[in-house]
Amino acid sequence: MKRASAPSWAKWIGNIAVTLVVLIWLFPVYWIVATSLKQKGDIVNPIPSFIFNPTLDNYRTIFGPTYTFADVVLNSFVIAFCVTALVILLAIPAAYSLARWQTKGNERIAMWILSLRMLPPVAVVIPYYVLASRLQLIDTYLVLILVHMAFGVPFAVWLMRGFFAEIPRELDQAAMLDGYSYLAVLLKIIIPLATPSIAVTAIFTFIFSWNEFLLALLLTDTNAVTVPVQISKMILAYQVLWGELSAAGVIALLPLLFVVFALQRYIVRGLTLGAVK
Amino acid sequence: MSAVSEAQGNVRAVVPMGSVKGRAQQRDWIRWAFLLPTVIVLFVITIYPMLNSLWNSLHYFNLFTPDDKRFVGLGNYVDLLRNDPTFWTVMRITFIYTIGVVAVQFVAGLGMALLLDRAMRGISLLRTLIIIPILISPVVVGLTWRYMYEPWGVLNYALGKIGLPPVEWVSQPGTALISIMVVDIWQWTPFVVLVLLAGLQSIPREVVEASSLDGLKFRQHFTRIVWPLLRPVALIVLLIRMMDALKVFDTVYVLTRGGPGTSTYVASMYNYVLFFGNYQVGYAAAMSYIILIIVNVFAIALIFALSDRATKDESSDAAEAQRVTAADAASVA
Repeated sequence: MKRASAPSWAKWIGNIAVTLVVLIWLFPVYWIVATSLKQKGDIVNPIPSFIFNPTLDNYRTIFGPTYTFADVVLNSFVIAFCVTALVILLAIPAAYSLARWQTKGNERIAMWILSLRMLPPVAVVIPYYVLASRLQLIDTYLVLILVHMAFGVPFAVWLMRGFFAEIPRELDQAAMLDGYSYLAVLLKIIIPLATPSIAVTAIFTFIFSWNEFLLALLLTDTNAVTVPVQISKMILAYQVLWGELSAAGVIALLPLLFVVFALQRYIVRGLTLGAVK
Repeated sequence: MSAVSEAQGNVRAVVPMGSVKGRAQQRDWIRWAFLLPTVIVLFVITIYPMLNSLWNSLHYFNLFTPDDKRFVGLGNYVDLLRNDPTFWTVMRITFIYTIGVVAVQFVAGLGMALLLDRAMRGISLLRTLIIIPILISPVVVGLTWRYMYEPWGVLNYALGKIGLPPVEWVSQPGTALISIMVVDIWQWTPFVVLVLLAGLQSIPREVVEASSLDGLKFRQHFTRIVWPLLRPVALIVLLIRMMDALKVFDTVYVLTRGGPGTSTYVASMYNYVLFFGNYQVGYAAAMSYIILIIVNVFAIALIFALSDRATKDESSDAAEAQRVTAADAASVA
């Protein structure tokens, strides 16, 4: 509400209030990042230190031989990358079909796909576990990639259907008059126009897989352990080592901090587009 | 916007009439060619496990005695609802949790959305920063709060500074559930902010200006202008949040594992223990189906709310679906 009648002092109070609220809200994020850079003595000190000598010791420790965090980060990265690639590959044509042919059948399929997005992971994890152990797939990349796809594909299809529907149909029709096939329209018109939206979808799919915990916890053991699973194991086993733990937490945060700052323009646009007409 | 959507509307109306039968059949073939790979993959990776789970839920089946698998019909469901006091405990805690966090998130989220809906230098940076909690892995969120909840942690230090006694946060039954709820509120209020902010910004500027020219007080402005326009979006965000709160697992696992006692024993945690603690495959499957049914009630309501919105304003169908799902994007992550 940009209310013109508000006096300027009231505006200033509002500006300061909103800035403070956001900064206080983000204090936990600051705190975990700060802790990861502290020395042991600063961490266990009951009087929290806001000014300290930063060190990278905690990061050196978690990437050392005890915690082998490099392997874990690699696992998470490979899994999230494969999930994202496969999800986008499947979702683009499906979303195009759902956006352009608005038949009864397609509407039903769209709603079915949306309902899958709402599936509680705990409802499917047991059969996944039973099936994966029968096929000896527990603790492999493949099983995590498949189960993450079960949640990533519905989300990506639904999101991109909305993006594609915003592209005027006249473009498709003009291209078809020029002799383009449907596939050519998709490849040469739709995908180039929708690249930012596809990128946003891919980023969210990647973050979903990178962050996912329940399925990764139950379907991995040692070889395919992902970052959140490793962190949960560290909490339970070494819960006093807050320096190392917070360094691990910051590693888990890095991709999304990259997303927020490097791609700010696209994220805000992707999250609010359609609202601001 | 309106010119384009009008044109789109015309095209929609014209094309089916103009297309000859052969052309229509060809189009339909292509529609399926694009759709089929996804439908098949989803079918295999979701329908099979769900049917398998349903089948198991109708059996007595324990991994300690895998040879003694026998059909018991709805026996597991009856046992859960009739003979299992733990079931009702976890349900009660899950509902308290859900209603508590969603109510606070909604009120706080609405307040923050109203605050963030202003013209100010750097406001887009603030709107970006507030998204951060949604994108963090719940495990890392749980870890962060567990550290702050330490008896010697920064929260008790802050309480001491303002003259209050320290609190044992997650390690005593009286405060554990509230402490878990605070974590959820911290992580997901920004999601409510995001969706409501998008809703606020879709209110036409002329309406806002007219109301300020009429000299309406803030309260009148809110109840008469803003809220009626915001209500449909508010319903959608409430439903999404309830569905996700009912499924809570990660932060509970990291912070308390359901304890102390059963003070934070939520439904998903119980389901996890039934399977990975007790190996009661059939019983756990029945429990997961009950969770699925409860979540589905909200999911169906959400689908109705979405399609209701789409039919009311056909031209903004795509924009609407996109706005909600784009915001939903964050909830997946």
